[in-house]
Amino acid sequence: MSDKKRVLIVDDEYAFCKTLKVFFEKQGFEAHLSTNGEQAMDMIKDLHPDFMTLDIRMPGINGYEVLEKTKWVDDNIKIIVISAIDVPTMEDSLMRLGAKAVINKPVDLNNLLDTVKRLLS
Amino acid sequence: MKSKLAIAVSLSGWILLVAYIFYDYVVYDDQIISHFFQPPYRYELFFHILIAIAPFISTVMGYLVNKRIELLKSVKESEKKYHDLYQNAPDGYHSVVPDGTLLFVNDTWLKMFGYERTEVEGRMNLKELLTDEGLKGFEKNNPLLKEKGCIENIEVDIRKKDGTFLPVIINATAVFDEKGNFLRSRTTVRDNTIKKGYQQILERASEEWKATFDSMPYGVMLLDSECNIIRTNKYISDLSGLPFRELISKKCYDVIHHEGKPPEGCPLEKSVKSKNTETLEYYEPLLNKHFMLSITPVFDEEGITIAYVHSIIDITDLKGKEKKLIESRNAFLNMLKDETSAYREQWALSKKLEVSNEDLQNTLTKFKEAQDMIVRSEKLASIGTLASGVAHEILNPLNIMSAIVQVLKMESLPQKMAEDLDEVMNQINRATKITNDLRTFAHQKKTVMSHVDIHNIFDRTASLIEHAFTLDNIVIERAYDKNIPLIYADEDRLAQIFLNLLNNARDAMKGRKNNIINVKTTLVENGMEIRFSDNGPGIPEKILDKIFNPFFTTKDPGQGTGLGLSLVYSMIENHGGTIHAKSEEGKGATFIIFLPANKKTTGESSDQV
Repeated sequence: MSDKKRVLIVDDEYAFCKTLKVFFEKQGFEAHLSTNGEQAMDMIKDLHPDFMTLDIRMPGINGYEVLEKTKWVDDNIKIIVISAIDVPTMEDSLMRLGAKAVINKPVDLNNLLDTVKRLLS
Repeated sequence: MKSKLAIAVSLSGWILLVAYIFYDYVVYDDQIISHFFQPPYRYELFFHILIAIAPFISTVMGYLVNKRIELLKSVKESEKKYHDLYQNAPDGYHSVVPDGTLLFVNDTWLKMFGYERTEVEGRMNLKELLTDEGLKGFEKNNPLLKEKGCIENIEVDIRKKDGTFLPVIINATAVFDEKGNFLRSRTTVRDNTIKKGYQQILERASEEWKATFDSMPYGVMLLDSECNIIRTNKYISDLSGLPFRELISKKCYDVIHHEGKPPEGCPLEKSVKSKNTETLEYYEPLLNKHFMLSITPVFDEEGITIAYVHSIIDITDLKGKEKKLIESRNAFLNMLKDETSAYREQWALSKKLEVSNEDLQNTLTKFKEAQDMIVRSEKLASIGTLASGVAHEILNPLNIMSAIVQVLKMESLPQKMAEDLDEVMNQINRATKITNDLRTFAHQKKTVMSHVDIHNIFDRTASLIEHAFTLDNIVIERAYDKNIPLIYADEDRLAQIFLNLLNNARDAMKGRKNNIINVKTTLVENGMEIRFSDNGPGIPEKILDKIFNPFFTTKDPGQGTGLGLSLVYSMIENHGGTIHAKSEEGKGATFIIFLPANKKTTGESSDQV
């Protein structure tokens, strides 16, 4: 197992996942992606990523559920919520559910990277 | 015989005769007769005959002398007359040689222009006394005078000694020598001040009337009885799209109705018969406008019709309002009808139906206002719902594009491509901003009502943007009413309201100098008033009632979403307040906000906005 930090990208938009994957790999992370909640739960159990980006509105198991369930599987995973929902109103409840940061779509990648570095340090 | 000399000459012959007879009588005594006729020497006889006819000769000579003297006298008198005529004629007179030197002038001329004879005659050149324009005229007219022998009614200004110019009319004839060379002019100079004054008054009056007619908000045409346009105003020219020149002598129905014949019920035909003002309401399908046409005959002093004044008033707006009023009234009446059938038994309703006409009108007005409010609120609400759904769907693709662009930008790219990617990013940001603005509508955030200091909120909001405003030459002035108490309101929303209004004013004043935004608060009955005035270009009257509508914007595409003011409107409405705008185009705009004071109870019940 390499000593690279591991990230799991969860978003129902495949194109977004793929782009983020390229981005994180460029930044020296080991990136994995998932486009739905069920698959994401499986991958969390298998991979135990260091951190995770998570969309909220998804078909099937949505972001809220993933957020809650992840706590029971691995409490150490830092979760960054990336969503197009109206963040100011939801931020409080998401943080209560265990999210470490909430970022608005469209994502500013520099901002995201700063957040990741802050959370992992 | 009036002259003494003539009398003396006449008498001299007689005196000689008497003197001689006396001498003869003394010398020859009684032989006087014989001595007279038979003198000792023959030459003496000749002498005697001469003496005998001397009285006749002297009388004739006296008569001739008298004649001569009278002639001289009359010549002198007529010369005096001509001299007076020349010097004091009612018109000035001068004579100039071809190079313009003034040869001689009369007294009137000197009086007219205030010069001394000694400085004029032979010394002064007429050209020195002319304006540039007059000089050109002189250069043109002088050869003409030489050629034709005369020039007539030349209007020119001549400089007086005091430096002012006197408008005069010049008539001149030429003087030639025997060989036909042009020697000098004989020129009369007539003061033209009064005529010119009248002319100016007439011209000004004519200009004033023209401007008056052109500025009228309706069309005016002067027609003859055959519908030919004699004169018209700018409105008609604008309406028909034809310049003035082309309108004259066209048929009025060609210009307005484009039909080639007068419209049915043409008021001109009626007016020709009735000699009275005739009117007609007319719908022009080509322009989709309703007009009020009226024809008034114009009479001369003898009562004969010389022309017809045709006025054309656009009553489309009035028609529209009338139609709306009728529709609203019908709707209201229908509503009343429904109620009547449902509650027929209730006698109160029958009383309602007897409401006087005036009451009905009042109710209608209120009904219309309520209708407007409902329409606006409904518009806002439906947009909110739509926006919240659409925003999420749009932000996702924007997010993907944004991410891809950002990742691409990390590569080392050709400069052109990097620039293009920056532009793509700009456009993504623009779309994001619009989407977020839209979503603010659907933003079902709870209002947080508390007692707040409105001046403090404004100052804090202004401090965020004041620096940027200074760069745009905008000064924010404040006139706070210190008596205003804390009001019960949502701090964040008030800040948003102020920010939107400030930004709105800034956008309106962009590129102008000495911009001032004045914020004035006043304590009024049941609340407070905030007046936001700017000295920007103002809001045109025709859009004043639309500016609070969602998506209404005057800015270029991409510069505004048209939601700023409608957000302000809905936020103030949520506070139980009102906002309206006043503006005169070119004189800035004023937004007048009313906020109710201390409505704590209603404030809490409307928490869920």
